[in-house]
Amino acid sequence: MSGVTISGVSKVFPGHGSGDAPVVALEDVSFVIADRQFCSILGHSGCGKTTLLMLLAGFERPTRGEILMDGAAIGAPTWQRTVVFQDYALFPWLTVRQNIAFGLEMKQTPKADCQAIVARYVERVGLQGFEDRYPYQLSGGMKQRVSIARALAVDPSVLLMDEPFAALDAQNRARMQEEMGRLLASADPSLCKTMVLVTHSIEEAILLSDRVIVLTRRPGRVKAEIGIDLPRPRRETDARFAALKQHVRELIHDEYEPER
Amino acid sequence: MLNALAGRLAPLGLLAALIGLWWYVSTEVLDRTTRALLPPPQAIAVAVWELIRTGDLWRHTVDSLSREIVAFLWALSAVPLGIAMGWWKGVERQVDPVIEMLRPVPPLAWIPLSILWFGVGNTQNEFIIFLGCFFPILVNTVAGVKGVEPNLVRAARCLGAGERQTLWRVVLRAALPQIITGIRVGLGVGWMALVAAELVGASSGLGFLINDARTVLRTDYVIVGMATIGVVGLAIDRIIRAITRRVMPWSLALSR
Repeated sequence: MSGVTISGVSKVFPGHGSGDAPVVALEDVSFVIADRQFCSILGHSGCGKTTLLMLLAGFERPTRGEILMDGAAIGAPTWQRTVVFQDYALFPWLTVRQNIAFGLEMKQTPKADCQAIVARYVERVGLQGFEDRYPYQLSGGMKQRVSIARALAVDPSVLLMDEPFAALDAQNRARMQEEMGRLLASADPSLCKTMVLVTHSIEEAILLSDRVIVLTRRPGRVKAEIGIDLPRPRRETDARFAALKQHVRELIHDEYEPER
Repeated sequence: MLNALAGRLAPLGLLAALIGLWWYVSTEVLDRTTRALLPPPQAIAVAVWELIRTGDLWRHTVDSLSREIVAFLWALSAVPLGIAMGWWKGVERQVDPVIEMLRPVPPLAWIPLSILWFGVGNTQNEFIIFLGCFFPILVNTVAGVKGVEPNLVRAARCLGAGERQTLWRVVLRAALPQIITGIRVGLGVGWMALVAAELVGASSGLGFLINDARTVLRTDYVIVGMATIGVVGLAIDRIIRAITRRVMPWSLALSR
């Protein structure tokens, strides 16, 4: 069981200068992510969705409210909740293989097991033949595959993804989304984890999630929760997909209006 | 073929002209007594050969280099200190005022005091070089640690790295390119400080060589000594760069 309960969470950052007003990033956010559910957090940039992910990872503490995982408050970061970053955050001095093995070494996994696990994830993300490359020798899409493999290799109960495909070009993004969708549809038990995806792409959220949480503009509050029960693998051309997309777009659009 | 050769030699045009001018001034403009102040290029070549044959050049270079190396090894203590300062606010708050007071004092200003403390000899020289080396390494290490991509640290933390592992396996390595920059600058400043220290407080070394030659008006030896100091300084920098390329191919890709 690795459900996550977010209840009454607010996050306020102190202003930088002495005269600066504090920034309220999140205000009274509550929702529940069920065990092994794929949940997307959708919102405009600056709505605090990344902040929420940082809280879930344990990098930051909520100003008010609490986040529970399996009934216990979330503390310091642990390999139980790994993060895939938008900028990949690969260790540039390590090869693909060593990057993926990093977390396993931290867990003191025996060497032989470590090699086997790394080989499995290299294959799963389709990076065979690139094991000994350094990140600077890889394309953006490949870097993100390494980052996903690295986060999954330690076998976390929750995988947190911060706009993982946003830095990729359109073709690569579509391909990675499709692959992610296929992985999820494959019902591989080792991939069946609680997943949280932060994104500003409506298509991406609908394509991948069981549930979408729409956040308001700053300060971020929960605007809507939408369950997505389309069969997988999903297709954007599907009429129900299009209807959902329209529905979510209107919700998001409402948020965009006052800004103009 | 001839064109290619000409192309290779073209950038050396000004250098050749300057050497020509040097030769002209020395042999044609200066008379026999003042020529001692600027011996012609060919006299320098003879002096190089003399100093190599007698082993003097080698001996002085080795003495200077070994002082540089000893001092450099001591100055490497700036790396752990810099990491601590960059990582823990409390350490920086305490250490920074001390460093900021000491840093603006040029290493050369320490020469009189250090002669009184250590006498004339290796220790005094090494102390001066150490001062020259230490601060560039420290300043760059602190900046390197503070400049580490926050997401790299976060990635390490969520993959299960504790603080010590994060420092050793991520922060140190991520800061390494800038630490190496500090080392390059430090070795350069140290090398300059070394020569100055040897001018007044040594009985061997390249700085001693040129000062000693001055007292007997061997300008040719002075110039050979100066040239050697330059060549060795350049060689140190090139070696560090070559090592960096070898050990951290990724760091050059980052700076590109």
